[in-house]
Amino acid sequence: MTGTLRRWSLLFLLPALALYLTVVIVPSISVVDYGFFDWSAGQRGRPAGLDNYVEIFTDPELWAALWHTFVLLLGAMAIQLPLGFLFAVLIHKRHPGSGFFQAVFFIPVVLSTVVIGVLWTQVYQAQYGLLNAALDALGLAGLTHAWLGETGTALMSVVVVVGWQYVGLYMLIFLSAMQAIPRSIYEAGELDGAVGWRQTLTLTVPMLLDTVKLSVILVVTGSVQYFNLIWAMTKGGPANSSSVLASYMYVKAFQDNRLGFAAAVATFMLLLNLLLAVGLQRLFRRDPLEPA
Amino acid sequence: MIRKVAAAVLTAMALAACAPGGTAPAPSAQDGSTLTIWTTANGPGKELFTAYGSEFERSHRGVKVNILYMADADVKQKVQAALVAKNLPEIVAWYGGSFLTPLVEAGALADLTPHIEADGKWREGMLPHAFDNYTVNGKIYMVPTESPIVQLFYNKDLFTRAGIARPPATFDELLEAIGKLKAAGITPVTLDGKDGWPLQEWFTYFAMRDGGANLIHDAMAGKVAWTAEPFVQAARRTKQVIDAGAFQKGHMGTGYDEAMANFYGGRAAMVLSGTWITSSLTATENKEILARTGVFDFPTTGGPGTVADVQGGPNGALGVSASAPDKALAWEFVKGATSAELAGKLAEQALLLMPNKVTIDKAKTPDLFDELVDKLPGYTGYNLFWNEILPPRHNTEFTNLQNSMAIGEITPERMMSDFAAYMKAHPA
Amino acid sequence: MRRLPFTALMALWAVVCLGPLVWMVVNGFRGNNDIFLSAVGAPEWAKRVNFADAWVQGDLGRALVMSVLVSSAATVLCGTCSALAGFALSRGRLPHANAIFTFLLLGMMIPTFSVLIPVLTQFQSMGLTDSPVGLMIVYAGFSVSLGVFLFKNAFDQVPREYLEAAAIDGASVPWTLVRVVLPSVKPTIATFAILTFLSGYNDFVFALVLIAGEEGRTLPLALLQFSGRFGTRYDLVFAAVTIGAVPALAAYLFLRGQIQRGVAMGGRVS
Repeated sequence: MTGTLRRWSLLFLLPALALYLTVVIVPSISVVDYGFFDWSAGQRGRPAGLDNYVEIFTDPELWAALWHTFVLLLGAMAIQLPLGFLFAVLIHKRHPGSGFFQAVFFIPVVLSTVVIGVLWTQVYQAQYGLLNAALDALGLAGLTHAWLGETGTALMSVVVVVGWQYVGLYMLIFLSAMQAIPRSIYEAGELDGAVGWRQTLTLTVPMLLDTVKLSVILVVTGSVQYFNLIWAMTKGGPANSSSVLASYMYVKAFQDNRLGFAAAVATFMLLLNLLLAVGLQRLFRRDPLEPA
Repeated sequence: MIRKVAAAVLTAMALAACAPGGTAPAPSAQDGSTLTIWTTANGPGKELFTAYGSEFERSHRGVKVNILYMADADVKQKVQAALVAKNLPEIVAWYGGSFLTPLVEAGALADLTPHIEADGKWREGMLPHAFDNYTVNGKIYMVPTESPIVQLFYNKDLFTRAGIARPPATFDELLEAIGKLKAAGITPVTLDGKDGWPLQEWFTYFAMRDGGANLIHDAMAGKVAWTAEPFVQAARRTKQVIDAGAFQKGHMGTGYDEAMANFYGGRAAMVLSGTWITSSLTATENKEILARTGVFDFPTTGGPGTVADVQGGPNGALGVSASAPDKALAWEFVKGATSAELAGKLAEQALLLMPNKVTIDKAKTPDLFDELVDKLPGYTGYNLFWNEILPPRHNTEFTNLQNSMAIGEITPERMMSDFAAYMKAHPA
Repeated sequence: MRRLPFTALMALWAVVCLGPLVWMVVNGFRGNNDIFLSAVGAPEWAKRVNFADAWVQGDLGRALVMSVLVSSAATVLCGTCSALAGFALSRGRLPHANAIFTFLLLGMMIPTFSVLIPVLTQFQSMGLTDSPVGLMIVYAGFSVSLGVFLFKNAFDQVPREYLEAAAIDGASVPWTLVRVVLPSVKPTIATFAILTFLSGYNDFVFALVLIAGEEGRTLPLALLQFSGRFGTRYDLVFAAVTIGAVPALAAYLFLRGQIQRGVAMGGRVS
């Protein structure tokens, strides 16, 4: 029986491995290789040694893109995690209207990025956009902007949408983690006088630490390759003020026709992502608050 | 009303009038073959192109014509991706100059010279300089479908309201007009800064006026430094226009359609645009705008450049993929798409300037178009767009620096010295 | 009354969530000039023609079908592969099962964006560019790590007795997997299906570079090109983006619990 099972199992592994190697592993190795060439579409690549990497580390545009990626990451986290957490607590406490709010807050999560991108581009539109109209109506006409059109506001405007899109997701992640906390822990806590917000702080928060860490890893590693909303809304502009690593790479590859260089940027993203993922996991494991 | 038939635009040719109307014998049936075409045609021109595609299907039984219309920026990226993926469609709209060379070097496009030489009559219908920009090493790779030039278009009503008697002819008058429009609460100029090239056209015109039309070619050949005074001066003038408040709020992030809508809707007084704007003006909801629009030459600056030098010329060219299974069929399509007959329709109905010798019936076309057509003989120097002269990566660097300059991050002097350094480090 | 500020905050956020969507739908029912003159205004029933125009001009129907087909096929393909692999790793008593499992999970740390160029070149050499099949394989491939993770963990929870009973009955391995193991992990199947479907349905980068023709366009691509091409017809853009949002909203309306569970779980494992 074990013999047949093993034979079947080996067979069962093959399709997944084939798919995984074709789409993920082989291309990941190739991209590292491509990065050492000076290569444009339709032409044979020329070995370029480390030239691409030298350029990466000296191109201010790349550092700007990296910085914007970082701003996007922090900004999105600053919106998603606290609001998501607060709403999860309120819904968990069966605050009035919980069912309704839970359903509504999750709606942006299910919308596709392009729908959100096109819609919010209209919301931010200078003349007939909803945001400026709302500001006007509130008597705040002085605050109106061409939100995606000004270098000072474009990136933050996209960050807000990224936050908007995912508050519901983090709310749900926290909520389902809270619901997994056994009632008995709360009951024990209540005997010690932990009720209301105190209960949240002394019991719920520590119990959720793992979830928070996971969420942070999730946001961080997702941000390195963030592209969709940036591309759908600003294409990295104006004047590169909202460029991120992925849009930088895309422009190098498909506008400047520098595939080798773009591959080097892709490799940089790949390594950065691995580094962050592994680094964060390490960092969190050392956390003294974590039960052994 | 007197019917005035003018032998206009690009010289009248009796030939054009009696061009064969789709009666060419259809080549042998190509059952199941598909022609996919990527084009940037839009507006009324797009409708005519679609009609031509259906007509082609009817006259070539069994052939399926699949036309994909794309925005300019999209086609640029899709073609680069298609070059990697080696799935270029049978027929593709592409650009000349530095854009064409890599495709030719990659062997991606079919040499059309033999076909063109075999079709003397068709070639007669094209303007002599139509192929200049699409010829590499003596071989012709593409056929232009349009011949737009870039000029300043203005809203006559708004000029009147701001008390501007006549369109500005000099740089100082331009600044003055901008000031008057601002004072009247009107956005002087609408700009789609999101794309980079529209602001670059302002810069290019200033450079052409200050340094003459050959400036960029001399610079590319290394005969003139990129830090030469006309370049720096052009950057300063561009900045001056921006600082004068010429453009709408958020202009650096405004896209093409949004910017043009400002003009169509009568909310901005001027736009620096290709002549294809006449075509778009007929298709907007604001029915009065076409009659209110005028055109004037980009102002002079006192430099050696004159108003006879314009940006533009044969453009929107179609090429045939080297991997097209039936190149003769693809050529057949391109030939029809650039025939004098279709060109005449495009000129008269879509109001496009054509690289063909066409005659238009001025009674049928709006005054703005006639005005343009009448101006054409006065233009002697057609200059390629800079983003076709500079190779893509150099152009990206240029627009990055130009945009940084526009938003005040760097000075005009720094813009050109940085660009000079880049050109030195990465020779084109 | 300590609750009031919180209720107000939640109500405010609900408005922020719904406001843009309501505005989108309403503007789909307004004229282009009206939208221009004022951002907010009353819808007109007569303008429902906007939706028909957007639908036809953007060829949205075909794009929607293409999106659903490609994403579903990817879900089925990847689901089959990863369920098989998950079973092998969970119950197959394979040597180095843990190492193989870890290797398969590496994919979660690889940004899909970084393999864009090699996928393009490699699929080109396999003749899979400009084909929905190629796109499906990409979407399926990116979900292998998630699928193997979900299925292996779920299979680990299936009581040993089930399998033993099946073995005693003389059931073959595939039969056991299909008839005994899979039915007991239905929630995992739902989670996996929702996540994989959504990631394919939402993608536009790979569609952008892999799909050249109009026939293979997915919905995100069609919507992006729509707003690029009909940029001055704001009424149509609003109608098109409303049409683009409807399938997801409808699915959410009917499968709210499933989708929320699936996505929350996906968020926790990724």
